Amino acid sequence: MRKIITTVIIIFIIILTVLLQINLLNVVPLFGVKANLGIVLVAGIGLMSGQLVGGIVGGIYGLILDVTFSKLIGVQLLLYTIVGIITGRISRGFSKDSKMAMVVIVFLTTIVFEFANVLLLSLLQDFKIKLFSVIVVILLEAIYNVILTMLLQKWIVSLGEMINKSKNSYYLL
Amino acid sequence: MRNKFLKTLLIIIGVIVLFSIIGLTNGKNREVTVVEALFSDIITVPQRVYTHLKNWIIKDKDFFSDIEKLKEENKKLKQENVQLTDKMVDYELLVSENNVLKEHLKMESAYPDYEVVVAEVISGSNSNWEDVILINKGKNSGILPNMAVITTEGLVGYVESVSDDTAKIVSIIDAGNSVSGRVVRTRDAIVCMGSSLLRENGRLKATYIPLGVELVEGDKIETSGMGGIYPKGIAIGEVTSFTVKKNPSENEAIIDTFVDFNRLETVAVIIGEVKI
Repeated sequence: MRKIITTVIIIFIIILTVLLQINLLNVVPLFGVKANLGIVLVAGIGLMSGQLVGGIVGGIYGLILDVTFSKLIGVQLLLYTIVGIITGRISRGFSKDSKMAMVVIVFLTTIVFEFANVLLLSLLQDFKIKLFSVIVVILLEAIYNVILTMLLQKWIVSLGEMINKSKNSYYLL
Repeated sequence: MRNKFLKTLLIIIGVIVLFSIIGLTNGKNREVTVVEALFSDIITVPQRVYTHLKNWIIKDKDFFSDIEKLKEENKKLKQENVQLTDKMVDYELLVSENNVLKEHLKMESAYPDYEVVVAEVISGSNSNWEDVILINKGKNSGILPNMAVITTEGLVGYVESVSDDTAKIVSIIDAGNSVSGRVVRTRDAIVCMGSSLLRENGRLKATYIPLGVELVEGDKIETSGMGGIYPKGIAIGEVTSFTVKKNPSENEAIIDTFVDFNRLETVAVIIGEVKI
């Protein structure tokens, strides 16, 4: 029962994150740059619960974005899944209790994720970019994400702990 | 004989005392004696208690009946309140619907040559790179990919993909999008491109400006009709700056779009031309 409840809660949180991203964070950009709550969620869960859970949560989140808002299906799915897996893998080297670890990981993940995103969009579409503006946007987004991480860290840690408690299940994450 | 005399004497004394008492107590401003007060208190204290209780009960009886009345009134008021709230909601819905219909009418009359489907924007872009908008009409309303999307102000973009009841619109400010435009004043064809640097301000970069053409601030740009997606003559924006480069073929201009992409609520998808 606990596992089912955990699964439902995770799905609910993923949907809530998408809704918050499109309805709230798009309305309050920082110097014209939007935060990416998805990275905060996926990286946070990856860090707390490992690569499998991180990868699945990232995959679901990315797929929703792809289907709903992207020109190409699969780009966000791929990128968010990688974010979940990589943060899950590197989490082994960090203490889960460290507040700084999550902040640093989200900051670095945002930079890598967005560079990869821009690179893929440039390769797959006729996407015109200027390196300087891309760097500025990515750095601002990384700072914005760090602020969000600090605000939401408590909840992400609680969610991670809840997932870890029901992790032994065969069918759940 | 002696007993009879004593009895008669006692009766007489009694009568006299009584009459004396009557006489003594028959005065308006007479003060109450200690004895009277004592007897009076014996009765009045419990009487006061009784009266107090009785009044309390009677008052309480009214109180209970008042509660019933109040409850009833409250119930009625609550019902009225619910009805009024419903009416308010209906009113607000009507106002909102009215505004939407006005917007639709405006939209349809703005481009009489085209058959349009008016739709509401469900959500704006959620990324720092792409500018994709989601609308609440799709295949079921006759919308197909590559149809042009407009507002009363001007060009919004094109339909990228459709589901039964939604459609994804790629806006003209998307960094991967470009529109073939025409300068209204000079009739020269240019290319208006989305840019990651300019999209937040709702601006486009004009490139491939023909040699010798110098754009000036305020020059209006409209669609040229070339490219197969956007019909001819739809307003795009106006020039805000023109930069001359060392190589004249690289001259570029910045175009401020007429559509405010941050406040996009209603759009129209051109699904065909009106046949006369």
